[in-house]
Amino acid sequence: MTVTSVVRDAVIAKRGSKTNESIVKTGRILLSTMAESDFVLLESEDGFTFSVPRKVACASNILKSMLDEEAAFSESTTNSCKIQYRGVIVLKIVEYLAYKVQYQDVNAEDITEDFSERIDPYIALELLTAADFLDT
Amino acid sequence: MSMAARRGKPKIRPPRKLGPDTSIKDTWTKLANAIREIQNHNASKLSFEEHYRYAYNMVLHKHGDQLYNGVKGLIAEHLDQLARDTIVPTFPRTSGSSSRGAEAIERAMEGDRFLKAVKGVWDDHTGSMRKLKDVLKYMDRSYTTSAGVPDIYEVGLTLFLQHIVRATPIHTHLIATLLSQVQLERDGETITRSTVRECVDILLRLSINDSNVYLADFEPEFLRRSADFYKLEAVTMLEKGDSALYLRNVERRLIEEADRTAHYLSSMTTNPLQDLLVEQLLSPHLSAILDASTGLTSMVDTEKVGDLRRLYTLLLRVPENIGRDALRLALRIDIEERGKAVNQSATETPDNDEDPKGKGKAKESNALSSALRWVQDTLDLKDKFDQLLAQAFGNDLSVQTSINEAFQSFINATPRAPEFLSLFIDEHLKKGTKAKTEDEIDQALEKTIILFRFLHDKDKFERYYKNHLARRMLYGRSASDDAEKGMVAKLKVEMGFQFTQKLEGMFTDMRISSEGATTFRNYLNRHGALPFDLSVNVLTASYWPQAIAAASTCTFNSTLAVATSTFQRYYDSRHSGRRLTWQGNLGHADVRVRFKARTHDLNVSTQALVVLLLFEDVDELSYEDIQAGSGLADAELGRTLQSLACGKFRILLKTPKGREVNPGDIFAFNDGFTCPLAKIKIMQVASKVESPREREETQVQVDEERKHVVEVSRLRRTR
Repeated sequence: MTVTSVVRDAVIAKRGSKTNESIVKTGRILLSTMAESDFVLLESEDGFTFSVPRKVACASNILKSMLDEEAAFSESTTNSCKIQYRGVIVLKIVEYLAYKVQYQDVNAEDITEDFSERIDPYIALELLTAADFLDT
Repeated sequence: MSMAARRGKPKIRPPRKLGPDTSIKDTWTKLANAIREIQNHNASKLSFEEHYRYAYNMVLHKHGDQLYNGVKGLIAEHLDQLARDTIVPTFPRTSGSSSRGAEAIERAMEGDRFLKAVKGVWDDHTGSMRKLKDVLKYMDRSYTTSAGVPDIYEVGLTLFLQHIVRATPIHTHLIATLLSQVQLERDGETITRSTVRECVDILLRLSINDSNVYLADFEPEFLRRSADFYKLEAVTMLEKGDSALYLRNVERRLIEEADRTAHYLSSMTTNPLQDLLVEQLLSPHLSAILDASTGLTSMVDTEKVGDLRRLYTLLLRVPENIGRDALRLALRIDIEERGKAVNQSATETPDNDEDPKGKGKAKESNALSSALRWVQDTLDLKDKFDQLLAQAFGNDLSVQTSINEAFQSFINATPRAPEFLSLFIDEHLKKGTKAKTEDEIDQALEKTIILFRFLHDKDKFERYYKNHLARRMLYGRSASDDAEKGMVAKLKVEMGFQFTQKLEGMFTDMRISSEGATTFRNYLNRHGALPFDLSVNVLTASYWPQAIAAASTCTFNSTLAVATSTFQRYYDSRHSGRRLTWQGNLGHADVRVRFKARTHDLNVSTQALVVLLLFEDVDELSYEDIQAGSGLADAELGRTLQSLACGKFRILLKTPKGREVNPGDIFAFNDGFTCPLAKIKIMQVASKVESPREREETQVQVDEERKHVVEVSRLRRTR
């Protein structure tokens, strides 16, 4: 499973009327065995929602704390998190989290993909602050 | 960046300012409210993201210290409130003096309630702290690290310590309650261990300036209380005066306390507490425990192996071997005491016989039996302690040493030990004593070797042993040659070749003599037979005991003289340069005597034969006549006459009558002697046990010999 396939698997739905061709991708749930609760919703500032495997979301420490059932904040009860960034940023975040999950058990020298190549310079700084915020 | 290079000049757009939409003050107010909500368990109403963002923004806009201190204040406030609302109402009533029954149960429950409240507050606090930690994660990541302050969770713990655990009056109540719960359990009440365990865990979790709160606040006080308690208990228990019970209690307490530290205190306390128990219950009371009327002596008396083992294992725990040394000393004293009793009973019996009733033979056999009893008692004692050593003292080498030392000292306190020991062996090797299997004999001898090892005067023993062995061999009383040789072999193993050289020489003499008997018979066939059978044992003077070798000879009458001179001639013809001395006291003779009623075959000693032959022509002889005729010394003659005139079979009649033979007595041949047996053995009145005078002589001889040895070794050294 490559990074891109995971991203494709994340069901990205447009809420509201705005359409942004660059980010809207329809996909299907690849792992049909996954139960509903194994997915969480990430909602961007501008109204995009991303359904991501819980495992991927929890690669961010902050998202993990947010969804921690023991602490029982409102996010964990609804299984959805608001992220105060634009959809394009959130998409990249999800992409990166998936990348992180994919390679978390792989030795550094065996990783051939370089994620930095996939970062559009236009969003680089905003992505940077988001990464700081989300502790990823 | 390669990508940037490819695309020429990329435009990097600045990130959107996440500027404070609202003022910092508002942010903080919202956050503070949220924290209160969290503390009141209402987290589910809150958006994590929102409040995380508030904290994030505050830190980002340089208000980290305000946030940090503000949160601290909130936590402290909340803790104070919890203390007020939850803990204070459950304070146990002032802990009264230790009491039993219903009141104690009530106190246990009150304490339990209080501890549960503390634990509840702790759970509540740590729960909310975990959430706060998550919400304030950004602060912990950037502000606390750069400001060099502990992260918020640690702050929470410290605040808990300050506002709950160490706050007055909670602190005193907490420690006092923990201690009183332990005390209640020690007094036999039931407490809820898990509650105590939980509170102890809280203390263990907390620490300040690297010093653990459990170790700083609880343990010293706990140990002090325990010391007081056990000091008192030791005294009250000792007053009951039952050492076995006391030790059982100590063992129980040790297990209990180990169990206690394992279950609801800390393993860190295990060792100090165990040491403390030993220090309070055992170390100061060693002598009291051992010397009590129910102490070591009575345990040994009643062979309470279990108690003794407990005693030993407990005393081993006393540091620096003090306990074991005390045990060793007590054992030593105990054994020596017992030894003294054995010695006493051995020496007392002859004293009792001083009364006129016990005389002569009775006295002899009594002295013999007391000697045997002494050895048997000593062996029994040794057996007993060997058994205890194996069963109770774990075959501890140092304890064994003490036991052996004790035996050595009391055995050697008996001056007659060498004689007794030799007599004991004599008794076992002699023919005709109680029928014993070879195994039994071997076992008995093996044991005597053990006692022999303890003996200091080994040369004295050798002397006695030689005497007894000589008597056994010459009188043909030895039960078995193999057993004799086995015994000598054992001695050889113990003492080396030198020690047994002479004993082996004695065996050789006997063997050569019996072999020589055949050649002598052949010689007689060639040179004309004697009027009677003669068998001679030729002994090498230096091998045999001096008492035997040096005994004076006696005058043989003409009939016997013929025989002796024949043998003399025979012997001279075979060996040159050897002198034969005839020892009348060692041989025996079969003689047929005609009495009025019938003829009897008498088996008598050579000396008795010499005396009897004097009566061949005369009917009555005075003591002096007999002495002149036989040439026997007083002691020998007295004994011989006693056996003939005062024994069971009276071949001679003595006037005046009596057991003792005195100069001036008149003896007559008892013509009217009757006896149903055709063959009669007339026992020489044997002097098995030495009379005091003989003993003195032996001592003198031993001393004489030792002087010689000392001089030789001195000579060697000066060379």
